[in-house]
Amino acid sequence: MNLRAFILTMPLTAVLFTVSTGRAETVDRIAVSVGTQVITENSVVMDVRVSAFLERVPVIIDATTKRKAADRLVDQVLILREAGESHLVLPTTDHAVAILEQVKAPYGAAYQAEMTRCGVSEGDVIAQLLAGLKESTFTDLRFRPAVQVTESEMREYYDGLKARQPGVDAPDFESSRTQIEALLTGQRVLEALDEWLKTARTAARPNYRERVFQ
Amino acid sequence: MGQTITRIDFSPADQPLPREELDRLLPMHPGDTVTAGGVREAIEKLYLTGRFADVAVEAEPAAGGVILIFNTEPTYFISRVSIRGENEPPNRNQLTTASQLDLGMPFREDAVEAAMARMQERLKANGLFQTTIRYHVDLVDSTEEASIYFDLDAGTRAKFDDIQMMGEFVQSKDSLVKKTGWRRGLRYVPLPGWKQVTDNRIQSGLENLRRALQKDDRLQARVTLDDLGYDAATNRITPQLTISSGPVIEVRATGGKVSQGRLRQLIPVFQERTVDRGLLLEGEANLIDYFRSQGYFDTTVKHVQTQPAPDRTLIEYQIERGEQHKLRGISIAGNTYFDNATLRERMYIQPATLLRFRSGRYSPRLLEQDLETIRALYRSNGFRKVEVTSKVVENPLRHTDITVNIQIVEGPQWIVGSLELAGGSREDLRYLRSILRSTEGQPFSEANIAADRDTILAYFYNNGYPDAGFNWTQSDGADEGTVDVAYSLQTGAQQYIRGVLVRGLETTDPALVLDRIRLRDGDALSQSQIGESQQRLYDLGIFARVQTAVQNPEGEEESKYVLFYADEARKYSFNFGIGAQLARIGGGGNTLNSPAGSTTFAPRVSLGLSRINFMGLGHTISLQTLASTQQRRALLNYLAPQFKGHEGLALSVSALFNDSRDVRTFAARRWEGSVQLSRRFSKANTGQFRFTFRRVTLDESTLNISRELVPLLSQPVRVGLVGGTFFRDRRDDPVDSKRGTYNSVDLALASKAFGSQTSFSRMVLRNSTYHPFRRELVLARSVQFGYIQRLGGLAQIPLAERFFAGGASSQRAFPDNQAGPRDLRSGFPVGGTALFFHSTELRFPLIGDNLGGVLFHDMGNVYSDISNLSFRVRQRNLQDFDYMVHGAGMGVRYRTPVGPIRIDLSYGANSPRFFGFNGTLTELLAIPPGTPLCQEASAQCTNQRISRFQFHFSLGQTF
Repeated sequence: MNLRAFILTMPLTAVLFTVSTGRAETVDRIAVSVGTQVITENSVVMDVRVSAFLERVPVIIDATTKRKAADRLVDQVLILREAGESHLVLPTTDHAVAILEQVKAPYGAAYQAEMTRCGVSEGDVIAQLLAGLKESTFTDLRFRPAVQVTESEMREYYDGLKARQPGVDAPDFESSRTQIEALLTGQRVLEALDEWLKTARTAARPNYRERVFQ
Repeated sequence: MGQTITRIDFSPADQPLPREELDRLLPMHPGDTVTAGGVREAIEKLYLTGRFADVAVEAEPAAGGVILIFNTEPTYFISRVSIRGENEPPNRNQLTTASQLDLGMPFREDAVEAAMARMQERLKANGLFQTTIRYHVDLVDSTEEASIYFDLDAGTRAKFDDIQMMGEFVQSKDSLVKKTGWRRGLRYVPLPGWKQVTDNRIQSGLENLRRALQKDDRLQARVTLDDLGYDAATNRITPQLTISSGPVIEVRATGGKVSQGRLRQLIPVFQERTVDRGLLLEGEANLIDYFRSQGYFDTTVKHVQTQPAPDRTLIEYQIERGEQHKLRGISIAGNTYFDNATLRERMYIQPATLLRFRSGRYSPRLLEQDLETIRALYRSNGFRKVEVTSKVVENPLRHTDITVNIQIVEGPQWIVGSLELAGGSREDLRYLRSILRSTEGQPFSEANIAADRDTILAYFYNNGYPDAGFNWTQSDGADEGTVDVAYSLQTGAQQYIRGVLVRGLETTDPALVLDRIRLRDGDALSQSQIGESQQRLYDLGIFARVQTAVQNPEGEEESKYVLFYADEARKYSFNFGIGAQLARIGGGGNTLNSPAGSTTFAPRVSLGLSRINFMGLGHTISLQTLASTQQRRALLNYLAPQFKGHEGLALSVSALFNDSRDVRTFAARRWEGSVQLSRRFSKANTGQFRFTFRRVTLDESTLNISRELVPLLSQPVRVGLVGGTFFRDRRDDPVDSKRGTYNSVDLALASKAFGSQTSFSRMVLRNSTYHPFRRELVLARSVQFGYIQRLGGLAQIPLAERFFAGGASSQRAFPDNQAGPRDLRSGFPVGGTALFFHSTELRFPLIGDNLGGVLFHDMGNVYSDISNLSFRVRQRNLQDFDYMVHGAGMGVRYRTPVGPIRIDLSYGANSPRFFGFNGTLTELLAIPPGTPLCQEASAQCTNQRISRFQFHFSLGQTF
């Protein structure tokens, strides 16, 4: 049995072990529904685990972390649904595997141990990376073309930055222009994404099953 | 993991889907191993059906493995949103819309809470801040319906209290407050206190304020409502407004004459109430187009924006018109596939005409539009490389006259070499192939492909495939100039009707409704059939609104309920009218001195009451009454539309009382009952079959003039009549026909067998044809022939049964109903037993798009007998009325949404002369009873003539 299979079956085995004591136990259930799609409790918990692994923090599975993870997954559902309807070309698993190498690097030899600690498999990490890549690509394709940063806005940002750090020997505006433009564009794109998600959430009316988040 | 599923159970045992379907849906079965992915997939699949609100999976130990238990909660769909206790405004529909609880959607408790919040917002916008809303939901397990009932306690509507105005404005606050209309008052008379709050009142108040501020060219004046300023203690609001008057903006045009009204139409700054470069440039383009359409084809316009004072902006459009041109002609060359007429009828530019387009209709933009239209036409017929160019040529002798030469290079026509269809059943494909445009040998174009896509998708949607998809590819065909086309159809899963639910009926017989819904359990879910059923329900005329919904439209379950929610309309309707008739009436009660007719004024009052959906059967019973100085009338009617469930069949039973002072049924009192069955055989063909029984009597008490005036009326008459009418209407537009035909045959028989005092037969035939030619001209003609044959009984055909004609809709050389034989002593028309009319009209556009003209010729008359029907044009003597009267003239037509307003002026060269009474009513009454009237010529009895000039004003074309 490989690691992925082991980790995958671990929670279920635990449940089934409990089951063998005679009591029926919940294996999985709906945590959130978005239209005709559902996010199950196991998916939420897995998202918490993978996030803890990627952020190298302890795995805490409680109402707050589950709620945050569910919110993330709802956004993911909305974005992927919109991307599918728009027929956008999104990254594939190969792209996520390529990113995984960058993720692995900081862990070094502790990589497998970290995964075991968090209760995730490499496949789970790849799945989450792929979802993130897709979201990022969608955001770029959908919102970046509409964002325009004017000369005066860049100048205003530069002047503001300079005023906040009076003693620093800052580079002149022209040599900072590209960085400022990229930064402001990135901000605007994220703002546009947030605005879109707000509208999409209102329209989709995700239904959270509160008992899962208690 | 590793545990084997020994059994799968569902809890509760009674599930919304059959066990077989549940087993089919689940990706796991007894004997399989439990996996997290499998469990998740099972939950997803079950939820996707739309029949479950919640799913949780439990595992329970069992010998040899585990039992998986799917705990489910069924979902309910919204089948009713009922609101009670509302205090309009907002009305029930507005609140329902605000709730956003759509019929058919899955029911969620939290959605109801959100709906109440939205309804509260709507209520507050209408001053109902104290409204409390309670709700309860009835869940019906058998049909999975959720009926949501809202009970409102509206409370007291808030009133305005004051207005807080901030910002800069030049008018006084008092004058602005007055403009809002929020204070109480009777137009110009202010009353103490403030009005109640409604959303409409708030919006109209703000708009009035805006308009007031925008006077004096302050186009950018703004008024924003920052807050309603509600005070719960007093239940009053003090709206807080921010006002900005903005600068004075003066728009001026120089160098060309443009009225201020036209300028307001052409310069979008006035409509948008803002000034920016885009709008100013749009104004330039509009002015250029306007002057070019006037023949100033070289017009240039530029705008200059200045600020002569800090609070003032001047926008000046400087126009250089150049010389006025005329578009003398349009020539088209190089076209072989389409003829010139086909191309010209699609073009907007127009050569100069005498009246309508004095300079022609032309501008470079219009020309380019027309060229693109021609290109699109060719491309849609397979000419993918068509080239259409134009050249504007000046006349060398008169350079202001121009001609547009259009050159077309058609290129090869691409043909579909082969069409491959994939996806769908063999029967579907066979049928689709028979209705598609891009089949072998047909022109290839993307427009045709798009039309095919719509056809295919509509076909599948209407056969229960809501997720149907379409893709197409093309490749070079085997032969040169051919394209092979391949359509790939993705049908998706077919959906069926689980059941039809009808809700909302209160008094209507459910059988009446169900009979109109032609959907059956197990049928494919067809949107078009749902729409047709909905239309049939509307056709009953008893529902204010019929909503249709499919249970959980986004769900993927195989079969779904179809819901029809019918809101019954108000049962009673009442109408009251007061008015007057101003018409040229032949010898009305007030115009006894004018047997040839004169203008008569008759005030009138009408009153009507109708009760729809009588006994819940969809029938209507109505009473309509009318009283005027000319007439008293009451009509009681019972109408059964779609009689016995037959769509095109209607039964009506009516009773009429009519006391008319019109001289031709002089002081006649008519009691009439009729039964009519009408049947629409097809779109063009309609038949009516009727039995009528009437009794026309003379009201002695009202007979205040000599009986001898109309001797034929001295006998009461009872008539029983069986008849029928057949219409064949193939006109393009019944109100303003331009092409087609109209035929009608009306036959009737009065006989003792039907209770008639006298026996006769009657026939009226009509044939009208309409021929368009030369693009905008219409030649219309109509012939009408009628004949009454006495079969027995009374010696004469009763006056009320005779033909009376002449006037705006038959023979315009006569006033209304003045054609035909006349009483030889009084001179009043007495009707005839035969009629023949023929009218010819040339209809043409006159000025602009709405004003048209007509040249017409009418011929014909009402004859004393068919044996006297004559085409003779000369009147032999004052007793001869059996000759053909000709009238010719012209008219104008002004197009309106309800049909053209018509004015006709006719000249009848051979209008009839006659001898008759020409005195006043007093003089007539002074003649002792029994004294023969006008036996000899006197000052009161003279030779007269129907005026040669007749003027008619009415609505709708003549025929």
